[in-house]
Amino acid sequence: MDKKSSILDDLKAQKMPYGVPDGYFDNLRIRLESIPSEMEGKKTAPAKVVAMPSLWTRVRPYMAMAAAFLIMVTAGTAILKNTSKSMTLTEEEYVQLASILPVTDPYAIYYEDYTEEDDISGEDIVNYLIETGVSLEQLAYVASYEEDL
Amino acid sequence: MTDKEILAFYNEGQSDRAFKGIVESYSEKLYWHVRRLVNSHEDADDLLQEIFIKIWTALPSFRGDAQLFTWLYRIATNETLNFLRKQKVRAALSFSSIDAAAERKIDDDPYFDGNEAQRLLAKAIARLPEKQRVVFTMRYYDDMKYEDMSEVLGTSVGALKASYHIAYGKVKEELEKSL
Repeated sequence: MDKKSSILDDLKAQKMPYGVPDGYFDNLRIRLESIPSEMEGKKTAPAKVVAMPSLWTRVRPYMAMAAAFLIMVTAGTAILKNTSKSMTLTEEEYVQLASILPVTDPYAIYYEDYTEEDDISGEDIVNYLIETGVSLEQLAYVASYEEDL
Repeated sequence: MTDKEILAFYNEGQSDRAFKGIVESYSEKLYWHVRRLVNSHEDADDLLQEIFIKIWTALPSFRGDAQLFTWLYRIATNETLNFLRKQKVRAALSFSSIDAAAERKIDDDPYFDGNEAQRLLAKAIARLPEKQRVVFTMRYYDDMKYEDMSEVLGTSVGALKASYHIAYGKVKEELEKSL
């Protein structure tokens, strides 16, 4: 047997490194033995009788939310209709806009077919996932799952 | 209480006494099985409560076609694997490292009183994929027969041998690097 195998054997022969609080197993047994009576108690406990609120009381908050949503949509549509105009930008306006847009490459908005997704490769995603702590096994699992599809 | 005595109570319809026998004979064994897999006394304690609730709930469905001990180990192992999977998903969703969390658990467990080599061994085992970890601990610590492991895990003996061989190699390599 090689050197490292004997290290595993030596470790196996050593005292178990895990401990428990004093009297733990006695308390554990008592706790576990009470499970049947606790479960029986739960089964037979009378159901709490709670007075049922009226239908209107239950529905009222949802009606209020729906009404508020409807008002917001109607008002938003009306405001947009009244204020929107054609967005034809001059070159100067494009430059101004480019400097405030939070994108990796501000001047990319000049390219007509630009999308941010084009810059992200599969390799980038894998690297990102590795950097953020996703294990290689998880990645391999996902990869094998995709292969199965 | 022996398995035979426990089953005799069970067959006579005395489920309470059979359950008490299971607690007497198996609570400590199952605790150690779970503890070595989750590496934390707190987690093992919580899980054991869940496992024995499952055992009590599933007792009427025990048909006796499996050995009592393999049936109990199966429930305990499945519950523990579910727990480990949940931990893994939680870690993945929060973009944190499950290995780092497992190592922290070993370092922070006040009831771990091993030496440095034992700590490294526990960490190397914690880095194994869940199923390999189960196979490794059952074989390495419990000296469980492959045939019994096959009953518990529902996997062929050949696959278990291969799994143990791979896990053993990984743990050995980790120790070689660190010691």
